[in-house]
Amino acid sequence: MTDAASGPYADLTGDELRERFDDQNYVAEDEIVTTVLLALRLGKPLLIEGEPGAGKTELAKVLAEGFDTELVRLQCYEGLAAENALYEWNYTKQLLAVQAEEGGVADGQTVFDEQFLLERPLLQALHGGGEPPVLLIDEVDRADEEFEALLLEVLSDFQISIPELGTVAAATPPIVVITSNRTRKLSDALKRRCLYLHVSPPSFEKEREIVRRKVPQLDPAVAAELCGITQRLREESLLKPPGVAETLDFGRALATIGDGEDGIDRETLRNALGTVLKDAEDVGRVDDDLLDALLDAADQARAQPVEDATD
Amino acid sequence: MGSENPGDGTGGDGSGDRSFDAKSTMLDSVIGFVRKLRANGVIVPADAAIVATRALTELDAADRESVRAALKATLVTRQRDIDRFEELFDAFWHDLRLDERDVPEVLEHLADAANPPEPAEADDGLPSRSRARDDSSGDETSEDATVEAQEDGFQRVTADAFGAGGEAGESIEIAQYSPTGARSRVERVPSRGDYGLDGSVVRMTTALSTMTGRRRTRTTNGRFVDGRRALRRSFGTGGVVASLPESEPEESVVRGTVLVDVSQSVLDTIERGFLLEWLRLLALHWRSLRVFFFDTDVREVTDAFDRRTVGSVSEALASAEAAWGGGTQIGSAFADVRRSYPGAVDRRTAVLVVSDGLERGELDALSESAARLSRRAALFLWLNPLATHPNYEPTARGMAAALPAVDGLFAFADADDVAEIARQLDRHDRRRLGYQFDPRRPTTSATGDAG
Repeated sequence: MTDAASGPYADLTGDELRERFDDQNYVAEDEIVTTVLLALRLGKPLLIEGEPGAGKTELAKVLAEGFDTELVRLQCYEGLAAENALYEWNYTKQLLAVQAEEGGVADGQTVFDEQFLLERPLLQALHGGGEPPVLLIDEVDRADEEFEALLLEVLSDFQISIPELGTVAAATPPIVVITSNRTRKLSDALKRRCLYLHVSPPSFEKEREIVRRKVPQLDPAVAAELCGITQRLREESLLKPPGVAETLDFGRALATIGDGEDGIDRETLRNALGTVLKDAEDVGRVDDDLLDALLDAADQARAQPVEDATD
Repeated sequence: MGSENPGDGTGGDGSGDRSFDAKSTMLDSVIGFVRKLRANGVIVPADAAIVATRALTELDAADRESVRAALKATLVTRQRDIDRFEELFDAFWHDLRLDERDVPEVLEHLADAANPPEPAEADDGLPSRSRARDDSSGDETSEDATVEAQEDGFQRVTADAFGAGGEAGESIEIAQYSPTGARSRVERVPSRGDYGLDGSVVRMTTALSTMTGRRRTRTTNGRFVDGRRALRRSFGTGGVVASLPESEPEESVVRGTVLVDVSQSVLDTIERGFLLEWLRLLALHWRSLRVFFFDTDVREVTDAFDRRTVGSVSEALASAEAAWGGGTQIGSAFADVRRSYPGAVDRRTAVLVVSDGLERGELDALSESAARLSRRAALFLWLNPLATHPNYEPTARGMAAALPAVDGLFAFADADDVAEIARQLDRHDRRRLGYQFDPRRPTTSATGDAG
């Protein structure tokens, strides 16, 4: 168990953290800043849940960039097993080594040595010297329950036991970020070890701010319209509601086409919907009524005063 | 309170005891809050109060929003608890403010106590706060929660003290039956005996169990070479690989949730004995199966299908006072399942809906909740007794609204239909599921797929 107030981030303040987020153009509310700060200070993993596209993975990337450290990413999938997550012996190399010695291994040598070890993300995150890396365990809900159990050991002790080699422990524990899309319930044991953060899709103001920072070449009024449209789309019962990434795609598309000052017209909207809607059924659902509603929403959004959106 | 206990194991330096005093006082009020959360059905991990207290001492500022964020991050573990947390947090904060001592001040003292420089101050700022004020539920729980939590057994002890209580909050299995309207009780359903369903259900189960997954299992004639076992074995033969072990995809377990529309219109078109027998066989073969009956509301009837014959199933349903034959509100029924039985549908469950899609409620609600089901479930099949007609088209309003979200729409009235569903699932092609690929349809557009 790691104890508080002794880690490398004991002196980090909320303002410094916010600054680093700002440097990376990551728009974060107070709640996110406070929670991340606590995770860093307490040395606890951070479990982030939320709809796809709410910016969960991005947070880990921003942390790595902001602290100028390595990002070790473990993408989870069904059937993910220990040898893909922790380590694996390089069997081919071992076989060749054994055969090169003509059926035996010379004295004092073994094929269970570091040179035959393939490090997988979790071991890699513990092994690195210097600055602790950011370990991103992405979409943990896609992996099986068995894999969760495997994580428990790593997350509470930050060490991995390799029977043939010994125990590898992290000198400084990595910053761990775990994301989940809530497609299944995670075990209480895993949740107990983490701080919990739920990221909801951004508000209109926050989304406009994100677009402003990430697609600076886009006219602010058009950006507002754009966010009005995606906010309105999220109210529809879509199979895949647009996330922030889709909004940004839409924004970049508009900026590329160069349909600037006069706003988003019907034709542009219809053509560009492919950047926002990623499902044939959803695209088929867009009829004239919905287009009207979207354009209305865009007009209203444009009319909204552009106050300073950062809170 | 035993706050004089020295050497708690976390300290080691001079400041350890002092900050610990402060923590244990704060722990009191946090535990009061945790207990309130639990009483309101929020799942709070066993050692969360301690982590929360530690988090509070790490805060920069003791303002309301920071405290809220810290407690939320440490006490809440599920999205659906967030609203309840927000409500109770307001009350918690309000209560604290009514106390003589100003809370932010207490927290600032805490922050000071965590950073040692001024030893004398933290002590008198923090005598044990009367904990009577913010708990209405008596005293005994507060005892088991805190007292032992002082020593180095911290987590372990509190975990014991909390363990059972924390889990017990999640009792969601209580279904309520309110036979109103034109429903009638489930009486003994006549059974023709053998419906010939067994083979089809087994085939369906196998098809579903191999649908996803990369996990491999050892076998004698698999599709993959198992390098790991090849090496281990070669040690016995001095590094020479004598034979290649093989592996194949492992069958995973099948979990499912069946939502059965028991409105009058469905019961008129489907033989009840057949329906119950099919559900009974699913319950028998699948790793886990939950069955819900819905018309204008939803009730879980899973337990009734743990029987050996259709007769005893219908008896069990009757004794559970399950009713059927009312009107239909499919959309609100789906939403009810999501709200009241949140564990029933997840990424690894196949959801089967038996319904004619004749919706009496709001169409928007139906398409919305069907889309949600589809996003959440591994597979979403709709079994429609009306689709048995050779020229059936899903034009009923409700059916049309739900159709975009459905992975496959099938006819469902007899054993042949079940066999057809099993056959299509067995092809493992999710883009070609549904009544339109049924070779029994006269002029089907999908003629080339007789597999």
